[in-house]
Amino acid sequence: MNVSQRFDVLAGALLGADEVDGRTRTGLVHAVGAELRQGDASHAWLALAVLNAEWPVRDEVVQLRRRLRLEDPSEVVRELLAQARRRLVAGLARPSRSVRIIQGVVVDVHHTAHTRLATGIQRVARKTAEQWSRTHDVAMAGWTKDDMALRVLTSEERENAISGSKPDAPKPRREEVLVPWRAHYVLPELAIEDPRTARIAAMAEFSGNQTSLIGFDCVPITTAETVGAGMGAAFSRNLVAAAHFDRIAAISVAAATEYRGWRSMLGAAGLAGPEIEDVFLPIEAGDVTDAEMVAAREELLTGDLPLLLCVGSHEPRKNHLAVLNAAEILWRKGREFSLVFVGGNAWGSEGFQHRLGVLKRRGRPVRGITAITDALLWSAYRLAQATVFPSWNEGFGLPVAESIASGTPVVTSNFGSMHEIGSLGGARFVSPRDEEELAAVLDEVLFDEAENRRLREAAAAAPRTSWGDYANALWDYFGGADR
Amino acid sequence: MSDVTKADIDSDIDPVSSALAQRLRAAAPHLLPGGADLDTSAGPLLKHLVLAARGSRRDEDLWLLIVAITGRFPEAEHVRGARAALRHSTEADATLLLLSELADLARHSENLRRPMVVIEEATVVDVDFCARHDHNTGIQRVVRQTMSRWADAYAPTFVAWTDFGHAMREIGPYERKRVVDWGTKIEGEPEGKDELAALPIVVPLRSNVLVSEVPRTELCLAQTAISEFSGNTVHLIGYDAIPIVSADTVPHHETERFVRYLNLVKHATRVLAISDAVAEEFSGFAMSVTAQGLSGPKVVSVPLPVDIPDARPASDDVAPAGRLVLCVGSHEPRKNHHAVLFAAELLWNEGLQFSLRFVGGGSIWYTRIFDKQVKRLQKAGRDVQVLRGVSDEEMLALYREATFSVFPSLQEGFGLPVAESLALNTPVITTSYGSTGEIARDGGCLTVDPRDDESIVTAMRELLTNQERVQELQREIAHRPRRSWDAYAHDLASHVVGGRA
Repeated sequence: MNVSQRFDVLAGALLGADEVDGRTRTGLVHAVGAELRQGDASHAWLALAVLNAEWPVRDEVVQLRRRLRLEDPSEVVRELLAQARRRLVAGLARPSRSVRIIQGVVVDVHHTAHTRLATGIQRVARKTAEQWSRTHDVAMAGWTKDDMALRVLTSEERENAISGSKPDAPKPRREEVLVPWRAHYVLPELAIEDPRTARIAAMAEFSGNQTSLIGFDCVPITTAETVGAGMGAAFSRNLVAAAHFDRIAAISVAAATEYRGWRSMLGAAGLAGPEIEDVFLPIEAGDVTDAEMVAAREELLTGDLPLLLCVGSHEPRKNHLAVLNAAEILWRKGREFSLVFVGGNAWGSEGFQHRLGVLKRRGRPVRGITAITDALLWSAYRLAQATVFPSWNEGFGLPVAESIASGTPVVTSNFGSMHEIGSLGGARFVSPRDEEELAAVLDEVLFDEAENRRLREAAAAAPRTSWGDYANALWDYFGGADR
Repeated sequence: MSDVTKADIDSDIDPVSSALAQRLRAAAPHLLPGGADLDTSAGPLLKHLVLAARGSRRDEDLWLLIVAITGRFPEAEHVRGARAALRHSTEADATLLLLSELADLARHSENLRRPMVVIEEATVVDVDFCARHDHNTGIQRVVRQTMSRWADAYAPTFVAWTDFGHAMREIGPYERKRVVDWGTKIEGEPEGKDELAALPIVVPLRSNVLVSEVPRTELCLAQTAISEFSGNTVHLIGYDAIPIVSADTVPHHETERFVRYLNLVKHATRVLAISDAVAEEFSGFAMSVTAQGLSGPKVVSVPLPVDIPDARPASDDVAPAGRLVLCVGSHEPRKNHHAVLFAAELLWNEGLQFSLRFVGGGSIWYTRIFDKQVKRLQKAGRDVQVLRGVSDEEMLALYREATFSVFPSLQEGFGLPVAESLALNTPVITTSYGSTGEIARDGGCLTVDPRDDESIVTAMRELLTNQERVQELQREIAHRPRRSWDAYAHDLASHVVGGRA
């Protein structure tokens, strides 16, 4: 699509098709210039996005508005066109890119369209996309190779976003840039690429589109000591964009608390920030066949020993060292049980691995499993006498929900989302800072039969919710296409 | 990090072990309340101390013992690891288990030869950067103005950190002058490497520790553990949360550094914010950490003064030469200087006559674009200049000469140029919200929405065309309540000195 064709798209959007017909090119340039000068920041944003086939950053919008004020607007438009052409000639922009203005609900599933991962954030984004694509007319979108603009997904990418079945789907050779205009942009995943967050920020601030996102947690700033280098800065720029959004659906009351705390920091920069509500994630267990259970029994159990299960990657925030130390207190006390960790290694897991090695050499029945199928995971929850999840900070604490949904008692932290989920039934709470308290409570939950039974009954009675329920609640809160 | 190698230790065994013995003796009275036999050799003494820490089960005892053994302020994971090691120990193997747990920490310690002093129930002020460096903007000005006053009034213990951030240490006499005698010419030579290496570790117990700066990244975890485990009360001066709230306007490394600092903030007892707006920022952060089971720090606003800088103007009788508009501040996107330039261009186009001076340095990636704009306007005959490397004295003269100054920053912890301008009776156009809005409320300012160019244009036009309005603002300045550095230093002390939470 050449620059003149892009200009036609812009003129159509700004002036309406009736106004475009029958005008000369000079007349159109004049009319678009006049419209831009009279208009607000959203018009400047639209002009830049369409003519460059690239979403603008804040400075570009602000600067264009200043030029429109100081100079002859027709001249400014002619220069914008010349600049867009120069970028094409210089190879800075891709000539094959076309531009489409889009209305209605646009869901940004850039990562989800290319990942096989079905944990944490991707799981939420995928389930949401899947449910919405069934029940509503929504457009799924990704980003261009250079992270400069939203684009149309190929049908394979779209399929992967929804099902995870095509993680290697090729990216399109010809990219079609999407420019939402009087539309509703929804971000259900975590965007942390600088070019992308800078452009989302400018879109949210200037474009006049409705904007909604799912807020998972603020861990990179509130618990930065447990996060690898680079994440704090990247996430803070995500928050800069979020500051201009209309609303955030936090995945728990705890996540909403983090986001509300952040929002009250914005007053210092003169910003009000988004509306924030909690839309609680579902409590749902996966199905397991009898054959899978038999195989899992073989794989996971050590003789007749009761199993203590700990699910999650070994990053410091998950506090797995405390689990090892508490287990060692119990083993030294003569308690007999096996401990299985399910989860990959992560930044900062060396301390955990070292301690795990020490205990293994000491002959303790403990092991770590890194790669695991869904069937094995859901079997593990069912086979365990109890699970343990004493994390320092979680936006949701999925393993707590999964344990309860499987009817298995869980020992978890006495605050935040873990406390919220655990309060549904089947949980005991501890301070993650006190290894001796953790050991004492685990002792009861594992070896006091009456207590274990009581917790199992409470877990079984806890209310279940489905991804369908979640997607509906989210759609209602975001206001769908009606906003 | 350069490690102390085994060869170093072997060839120099005496200084290391005698320093270890000294540190153990310094810790002994605090760990052995029944009285310690200090004549005993280091080995048996170590065993007594380990058993005492093992028996007391108090975190502060273990924390102190780790400092004594390793010459390092431990991080949380070290204290927890040491606690786990002692938990299953017997009297016979406790020392061995603890030493093996601390082996890595000690092996990389830069302080194995350094002695230590323990101070109790004192006021300790961490002035790491100001003691070690000559740089003097923003934070350093606040610390030096305040601590020069505290030095006489409260005689606090000033500390810096050792080079790699392994422990708090005493500061040398020259370093002390850098903190408390700034502004006068400092006599003598800065401490050399050897002198600095001999300064003892300072270990506060049951004390008030004020972290007066934003600490180096490498010592944030150890600094946090002081708050979590040592039993001391840790206070912070809160300057701003710009690296989070306006993260898009600062380089990545600044935000990275700041989020490490936030770990210290969430475990601190109290944050003394330099304005109400900053207090709101830190309160917001404190609220978000309740989601992780922490109460967060108590946040108090102790606003900085609007006071004249220490320097004297180059000349007292500055004749106003036409209308001068002054814009002071480093050239970075957050300061919004492009908006000022735009407003000026529009007003020049309207036919207004005035000169515009920007004062302040900045990084090249930003100044290059800005300077290009300025050159374009100069070519068009506009009276605009960017002044860099201006002395404090020249700056004061410029303030006095100016009809008004303009400071429409997107975010400030305080907005020193607004305060300075007012202290020199020059009206200011500044941002309506945040800390600058607070300063403006006491008079002498026109406030604007910095994201709305039109509001900046309107305010500048008003002060360029309406002499009465300027005079009215000058009268307002004369009636502003005065707040001096003395008052600030006193207010700050009332929250820190003697007032343990």
